[in-house]
Amino acid sequence: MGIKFFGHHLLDEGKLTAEQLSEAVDYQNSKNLSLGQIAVREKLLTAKEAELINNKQQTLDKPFGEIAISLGLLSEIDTDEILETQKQEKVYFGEVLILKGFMSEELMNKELNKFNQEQEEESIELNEDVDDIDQDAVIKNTIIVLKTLYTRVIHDHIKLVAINDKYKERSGLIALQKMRGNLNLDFAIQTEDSLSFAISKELLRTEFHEIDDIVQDIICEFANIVLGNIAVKFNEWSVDVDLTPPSIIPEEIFHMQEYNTFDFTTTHGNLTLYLKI
Amino acid sequence: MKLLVVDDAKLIHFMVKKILKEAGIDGIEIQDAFDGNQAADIAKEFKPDLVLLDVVMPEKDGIEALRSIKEDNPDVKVIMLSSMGTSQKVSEALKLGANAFIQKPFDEEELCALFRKEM
Repeated sequence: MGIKFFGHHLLDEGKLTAEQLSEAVDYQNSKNLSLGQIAVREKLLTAKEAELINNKQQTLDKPFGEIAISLGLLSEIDTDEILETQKQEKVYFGEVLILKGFMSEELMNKELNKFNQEQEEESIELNEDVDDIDQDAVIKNTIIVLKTLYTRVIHDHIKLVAINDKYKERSGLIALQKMRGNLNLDFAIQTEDSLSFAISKELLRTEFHEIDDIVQDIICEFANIVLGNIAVKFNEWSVDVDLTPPSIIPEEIFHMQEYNTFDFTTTHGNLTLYLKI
Repeated sequence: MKLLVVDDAKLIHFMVKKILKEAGIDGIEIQDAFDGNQAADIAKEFKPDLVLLDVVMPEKDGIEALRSIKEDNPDVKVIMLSSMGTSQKVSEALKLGANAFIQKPFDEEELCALFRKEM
C-alpha cells in the first residue's frame, strides 16, 4: 500500500467525485501560499532570491527554509516566522470540502479519522523500512546521484552498461574516498584518460593533454562532490556520516575484486564506479 | 577585502580566482590554505575579512578549522563551501558562526553574488 492523500481516500471510498476533488484542490492551492511566496510578500526575500532557493531545492532535495538559512538569505527567526504564518493561513482540505458544500462536517470528520488510522498503519511499515536500509537501496541511490551530478556538472550523457563484469578491461585514474559513520561505504571512481581530460576541461575551462597533478586533483574533487551529495541523500534516512578526503590510488594496490563494479559509458570515455559496503 | 580560500582541492582555488577575474571583481587580496591547520595558522596572521571554507579536508576538517578561526576572530565572515551539506554539518557550521553554507557543485553566479554582497 502506498501513501495517499485524504482526497484520494475520499475518491476511493466514493465520497467525492473526481471533479469535486479537482475543484477543491485548485481552491486550496490558490489559498495556501508557499514559503517563498510568503517570504516575498513579507519582503524578507526578493522574487529572485526565492527563485534561487526553489531551483536549489530541486537539486538538493532539502526544505526551503533549510536552504534559505544555509545560503544566509533568511535567519532562523525569519524562517520560523514564515513557517508560523504559513501554518496560521493554511486552509485544510477538509475545510474546503465543507465550504464548497461537498460534504457535511460530520461525514468529513468520520472519513478523516478513518484515513488517519490507515496512515498510522502505513507509517509503522515505512519506519521499519528506514531502520533496515538494504544494500540495494544504497547502490541504487549512489548510482542515481552519480548520474545526476555527472550530467549536471559535465553536461554530458552517462549510461550504465555493465554490473560486476569480471572480464571488463579498465584504465585510468582511480579516486578513492571512504564514508564512515552509521553507514560505511568505500567509494571509488575510475575515469579513462580521455574522460579525465573532459571533466577537467569542463570544470576549469582549460585544455589538458597529460595526467598531471591538476587533473588528478580535479578527479578527486569530482569524486568528493559525488560522495558528499550521496551522504546528503543518505542523510534523509537518518544516516550520519563523515568522509575521508579523496586520494588517487595506484591500480596495482587497489583491490578491485573486493568491490561491486558498475561500468558506465559517456561521450568522452568510460567511467567505473566501485562500491564496497 | 582580504579573502582566505580553504580547500584541499587545488581546483577550487583556481576556480575562485577565475570566477572573480571573469566577473571583473577586483580589489580582493587572496590567500590559499589546503587543510584546516594551515587555515587556522594563516587566518591568525592574514586576518581575512571573508573565509571560504571546505568541510572534508586532511589534518583538521572544516568544522574544527571554523571553530579555531572564529575563536581568534569572532567577526570574520565564513562561508562554508562543501559537498558535505548534510543537515548535521550545516547546523553545526551555522551554530559555530558560519554565515552561509553553499553546497558543491555551486553556481558561479551564486558565488559572485556572495562576493559582491560581502564587499
